[in-house]
Amino acid sequence: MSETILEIKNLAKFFGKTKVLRDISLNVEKGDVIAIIGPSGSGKSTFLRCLNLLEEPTRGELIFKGETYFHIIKCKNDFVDYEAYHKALDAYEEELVRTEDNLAIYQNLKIEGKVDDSLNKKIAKAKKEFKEVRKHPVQKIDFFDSKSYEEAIKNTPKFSISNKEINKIRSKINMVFQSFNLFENKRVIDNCCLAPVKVLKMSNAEAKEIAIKELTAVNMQDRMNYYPRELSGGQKQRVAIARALCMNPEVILFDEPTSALDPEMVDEVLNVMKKLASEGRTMIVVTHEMNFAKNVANKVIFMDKGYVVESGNPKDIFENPKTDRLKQFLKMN
Amino acid sequence: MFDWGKIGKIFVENSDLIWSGIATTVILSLFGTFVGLILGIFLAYGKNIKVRDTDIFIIKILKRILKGFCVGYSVVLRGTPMMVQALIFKYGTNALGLNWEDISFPKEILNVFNGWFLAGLIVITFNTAAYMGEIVQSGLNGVDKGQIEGARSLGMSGAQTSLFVILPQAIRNALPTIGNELIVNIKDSSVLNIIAVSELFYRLKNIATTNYAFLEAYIILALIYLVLTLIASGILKLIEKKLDGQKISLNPFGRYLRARKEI
Repeated sequence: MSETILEIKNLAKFFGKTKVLRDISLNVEKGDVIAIIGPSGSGKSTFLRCLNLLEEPTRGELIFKGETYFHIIKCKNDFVDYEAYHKALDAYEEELVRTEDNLAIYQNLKIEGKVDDSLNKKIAKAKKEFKEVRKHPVQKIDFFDSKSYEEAIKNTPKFSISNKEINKIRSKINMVFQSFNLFENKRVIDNCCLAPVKVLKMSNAEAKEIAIKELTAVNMQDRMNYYPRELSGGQKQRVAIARALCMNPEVILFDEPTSALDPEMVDEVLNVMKKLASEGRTMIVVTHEMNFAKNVANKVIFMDKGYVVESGNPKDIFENPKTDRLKQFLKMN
Repeated sequence: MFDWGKIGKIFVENSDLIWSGIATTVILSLFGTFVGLILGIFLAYGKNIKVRDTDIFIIKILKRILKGFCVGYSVVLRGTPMMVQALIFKYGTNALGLNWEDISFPKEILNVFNGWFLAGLIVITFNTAAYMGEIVQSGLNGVDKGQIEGARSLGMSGAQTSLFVILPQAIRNALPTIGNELIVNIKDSSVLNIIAVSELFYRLKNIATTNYAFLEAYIILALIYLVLTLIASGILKLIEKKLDGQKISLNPFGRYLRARKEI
């Protein structure tokens, strides 16, 4: 029986009015390899970054091994009447344009030299009108239902988490980036040792021993004393994976790990990832490598425009796609 | 008439004073640059303080005050000449009842350490700090944001990230500019003669008047400054190379000799 490591409930993320993630729920069990596929801009990376709170979700609940580390049920955005707000915004802009045009017409007449008393009065009037409109811009807060928001807040217990606890969670949910993000000022071996020594309070010798073991696992043991800038892309990514492994994380998040690499290097990184999967590591992988998703993952999630469109085991997803959107996406690849 | 022999004669006759002046200038500029750099790091972080909506009221006020101080400090200190700052410092502290002449050091080496030297040290350090704040800030801005994410995603705290990952890279990026600041300090410490700091310029000026040999004395002065700055920039180049992990050779012609061998 496998245990649930990560539980994601109704996770949502808004950047202003754009909704990047909409109510995503997911259970991650120990040993799962979950591949997230989908077109660019569908919120895959944001989803991953929300999981270790590099990006703060707008609302939702995140539970790591039975321990809640993020919980906001209702956010302010839920209580904004967006329909009315956008309607008012459009009307305001229309009014602004109309009054400004009005003013411009009279002023042009003045420039042309047709000046009389009534024209000056008209200009003054139009100016006043224009200023009046500008003085009262449409604000989001006017459409914010503060009463019911406060009520909702009152009923739910306030959840807060200290930075220290966030760091602790992050040390167990590591991330591998598309752009590697190796520490440029440190040698490969020090890249791997830094976090275990500083975060897990290991001794230097102990950390080094683990680092050498993990670097050997990704076949980078003979590049230990190189600086990141002296390595190729694929080598950098393998070091980045080893760096994450040194923390002995419960979950590793891969954010498009092969997107910045050329085809030859993609294979060397994918082989390392396959090896990790076969060792029973829990991984969530955002990827454009369909073959990897098909062959290695035990669960595939297809995302589009912030929704989970389809999810299931790879066989169903790739051979019997149910939704049109997924069919279209797979045809393109 | 100008006499080349006189230059050597003046140099030999007053070598004690000149060496004392060189020592003062070197200590002033080195100390000012290094301590100024450390203060500048704090200044750069002070200027980057972000006031969050979630902070409680008192923290918000404190943050605003601190940020305002750091911004104001660099505006004022960078916007006024060091000579004027030195004079204001001198007469300001005098008005408060502090007389720099009375301060004496227990040990005397090369006639360097006295009360005015200490005053000069303070002025040059705080002046450099303002420039260093700007330099470190641009260095910090130059570090890729991904480095922060990389460190944070491994569970490192903000302070650890800054100390072990971001700051070393920022300093490395800013090193040419920091070195430039050292060279500027070597030359600009000369303005401290206005508050009777007995540095190189002050010494040579006195030698010039006592020997009635102005041109000779100032030519010696220019040559000494030139040598000092050349040495400083050479050492900085070596440090840069060392930080880049290159092998360093102390023979300045090594490169050309190697090139010739290859031909």
